[in-house]
Amino acid sequence: MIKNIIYSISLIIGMFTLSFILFNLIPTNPARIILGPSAPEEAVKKLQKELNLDKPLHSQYITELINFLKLKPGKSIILNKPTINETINKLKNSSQLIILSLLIALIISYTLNLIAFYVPKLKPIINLTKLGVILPTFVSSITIAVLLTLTLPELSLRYQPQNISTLILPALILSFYPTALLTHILNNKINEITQSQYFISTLALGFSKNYLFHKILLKSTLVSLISTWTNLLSVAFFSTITIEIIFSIPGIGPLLLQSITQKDFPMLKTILIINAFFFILVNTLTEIIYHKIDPRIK
Amino acid sequence: MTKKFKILTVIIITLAITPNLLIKIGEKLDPLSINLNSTYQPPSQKHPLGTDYLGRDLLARIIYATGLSLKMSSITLSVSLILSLTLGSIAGIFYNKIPDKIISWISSLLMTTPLILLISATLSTLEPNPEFTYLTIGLFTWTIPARLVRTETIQLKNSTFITAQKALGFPNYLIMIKIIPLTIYPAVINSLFILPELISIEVALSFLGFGPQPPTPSLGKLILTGTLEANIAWWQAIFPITALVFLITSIYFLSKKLSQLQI
Amino acid sequence: MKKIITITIIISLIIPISCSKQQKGENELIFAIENEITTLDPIKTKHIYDLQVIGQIYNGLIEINEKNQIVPALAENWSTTDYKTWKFKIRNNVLFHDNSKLKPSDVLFSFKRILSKESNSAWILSDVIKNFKIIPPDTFVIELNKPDPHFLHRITSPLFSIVPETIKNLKEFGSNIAIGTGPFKLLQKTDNEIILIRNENYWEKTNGNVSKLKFVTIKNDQIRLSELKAGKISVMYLPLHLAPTITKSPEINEKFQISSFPTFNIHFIGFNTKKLNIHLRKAINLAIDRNEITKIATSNLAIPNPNPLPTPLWTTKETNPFNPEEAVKEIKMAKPPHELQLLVHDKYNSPIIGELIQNQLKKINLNITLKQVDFNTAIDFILKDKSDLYLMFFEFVFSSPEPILFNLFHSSKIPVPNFWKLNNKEIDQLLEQLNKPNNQKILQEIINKINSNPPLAPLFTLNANIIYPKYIQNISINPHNIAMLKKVKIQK
Repeated sequence: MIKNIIYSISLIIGMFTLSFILFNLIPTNPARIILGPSAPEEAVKKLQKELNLDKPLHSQYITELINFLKLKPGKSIILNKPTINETINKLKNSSQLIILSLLIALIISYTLNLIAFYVPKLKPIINLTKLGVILPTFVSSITIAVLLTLTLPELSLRYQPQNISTLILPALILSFYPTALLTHILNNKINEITQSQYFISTLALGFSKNYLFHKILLKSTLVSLISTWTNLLSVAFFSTITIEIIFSIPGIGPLLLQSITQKDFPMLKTILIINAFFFILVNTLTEIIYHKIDPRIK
Repeated sequence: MTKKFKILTVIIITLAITPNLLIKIGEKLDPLSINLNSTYQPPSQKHPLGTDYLGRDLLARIIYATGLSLKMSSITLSVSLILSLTLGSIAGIFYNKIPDKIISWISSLLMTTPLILLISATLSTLEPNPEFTYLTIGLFTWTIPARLVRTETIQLKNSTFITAQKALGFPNYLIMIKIIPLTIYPAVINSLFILPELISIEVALSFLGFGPQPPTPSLGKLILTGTLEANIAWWQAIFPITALVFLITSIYFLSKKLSQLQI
Repeated sequence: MKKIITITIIISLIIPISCSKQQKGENELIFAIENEITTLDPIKTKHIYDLQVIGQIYNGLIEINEKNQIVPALAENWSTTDYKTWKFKIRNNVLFHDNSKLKPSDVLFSFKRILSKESNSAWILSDVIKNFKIIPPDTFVIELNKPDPHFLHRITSPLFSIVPETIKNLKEFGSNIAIGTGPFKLLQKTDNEIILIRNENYWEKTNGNVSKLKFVTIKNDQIRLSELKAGKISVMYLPLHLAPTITKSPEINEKFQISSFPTFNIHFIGFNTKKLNIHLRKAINLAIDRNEITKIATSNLAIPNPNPLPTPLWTTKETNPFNPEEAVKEIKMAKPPHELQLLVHDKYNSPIIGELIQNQLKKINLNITLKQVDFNTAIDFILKDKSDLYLMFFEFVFSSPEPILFNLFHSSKIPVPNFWKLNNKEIDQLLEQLNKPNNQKILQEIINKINSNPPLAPLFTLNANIIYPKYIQNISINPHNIAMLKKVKIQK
């Protein structure tokens, strides 16, 4: 496990370096952005000096790297506020969205498979979810947004932090892909197990359908379920960016985009750190859960 | 082997011809001429899909834009495929040795860094040649098929006839040359499933402002202006989105059929 | 696993729900804006949109009304004998929001603060001011380095608001605290919402009845519009790219009103004077149909303007010198290159304007390719001379033509804001002679000289356009783009 952590840390440092290089390839000058086009050149140079942007790139890199390793998140250049507050704020919103959507995915995939198990004739419902796999999140979200604007113009889609119900529609769209995936994986596993010897013999013992489904099938599918679920969690980030931009939800997505276009490196740094920690957290959690559930896996 | 070869050639030729065909058709129908007296016209006989805010024919623009999107994503796909085949097989051959570790490390690196950062950085530094920029997106998306190629290579490496060759003292690069052709077919079929995702990335990028420059029509831009003006010109929003959904679903079903072919 | 999920959901769902119950008899005006206000300290702001709120909380010595006339504010009257020494008599019945009385020492403190190191607006006055003085009991004196009959127009913007001396070491000033003399007092400021209440002790009597003023940040234009339609906000600026939808909608025209007010800005095509010779630039200037651009790209919410000054400050009869025949003659003398690149950004319908220009210049056989980048990259490209032509706009804080022309065209202002690096001795000399009270002739001469060898082709001046329901009356915006909300009457 320690090997894993060292590996992850080397990844993070690599990602940091790559981001620094890419970031400095983008042509704009943050001081000029802050002061606007009509500010005189001296004011811009003064601000550049204050922000340490006039030093040569390699020395900037070294100072940034040291700050990064000391875990000092720093202050956003553009907003003049500590980056960590802003990021955590937006992360709260994004995580609400992601968790809500994955929850919806779990519920729907569970329900669909339950129905298919009880009423075998309704199995084709599972195929309905295929559409979620085919269409990338961007396409489905923009289609629904347009359809809503055209058919229900009075519907207020504004995200209000106090009102969770405004998150339901974006979470629903975000859940298309996870739902489809989870449903199919569950379904495949269930089919696999129902055709196995072990299951057919339990049928003979006369258990109720409810018991069969919940106690036997679900438990056996838990491993693949969890691994897919945790996989989805890390993939979820990219799709949430598109949803947040389309539905104007103040989450990590627009913050990331803004920090790139406004050349706010401290903010970008903080987002990347959090992204990386999240990634490592999910991976280590997966490993721990695997071990707990199935000690056979090494 | 020859059947696979035939199928591969068909795929390559279709991917090469269809976009350009669509673009030519779009050009014939005139997507660019501005006619300020007939702006925001609903679908009619003269303009089957209506006109946009500058009076340009929407049918022509959508056909052109769909062809352009397909062309761009195909370019990205080819770059991605070439890279993944070479790097994936190298990683597979030298499984668990230094080249594999380096390549896997780079692959994980590219997967953790946000795609948006990678793309916007490259797009804003390189000059406007649109084909060139999609080439670079291919540089970042090879990681997905590469995984598959690597696993396939590892499996093949352990197969009997390769181990025999190794025992006979064939150097690694010759073995690689033998293995790669066997991995091409599954890699291509698998990457066709990524094509919709690539198309969606390209559309999302031009939706956000990167991508083909005005007045060249692009699906992302068409969808963007369509959604903004949906209240007064529903045709501007519905038709481009329908075209996109249609493109993606048809590619999906074609790839599904291909993957189910028993060969 | 499910337990963990449920607990996480419950935790993340516990968010304090803030109620906003309106008391009876309260007249609340909710103004929706696009950006988050960064600071309420007049010297710390780097963004022109902060001034909208700052202009409600503070006053300056003088201000301008909707008709671009200077009106007394905290200075009851003023006088000067030589245009070098300006004396202001400070009103003596003004209270700050913390109930302390306004004294000339507060004015002195405010002006010194504006010229200090921490101020972002010091550049407006730094090479102009010689000294400040107080003559007891109530006169504040500004001494200039050189006589300037138009000096007053430099200090009409809310950037020159007066703050009390007592805030000297107050760190929270601007972020959570704001004390001014203005018609509204700060009650609460969060990231997305600023709540102000009416100042009952305001020194000027007005008929307005807005008791509570809320500035709400809604970044997405369409959501802002739907909030307006649903009655959840009262006023908003009309976003240009939604203008066709809004102006043509019968539902909007029935319940709402659109008002347009001219402000100090110009939107223009900038030329890379090194790459384009004089005949080419003149040809482009003559081939552009400004009326068409204003009609299609701004839905006529702007005023066509061929002069390098905003329309409230300078108007000519000829607003659209569109002359394709002359343009063709100039092109023949120009020997134009095969293709020219026009840089457009993403604000104020710039891409649509670019496409229209491309179409118009095609008619005189000039091929233009467009390149769209985001606004910040555009500024960078322009400063590095990376484009042949570019679309850009300027929003000015001066209310008279002289400092604008000086900043745009004097050689000492290269490279910013003299983007086109104009270095012409005759024009420099004329600009330096503008310090005369009656300088119309000199202004005309300067503009003529600029237009004869144009470093830019001005297109239009954009109005400040607001939409609001018909039961709100007396709402107006002055040319500095500050809404005059003290006079607003809500009549439900």
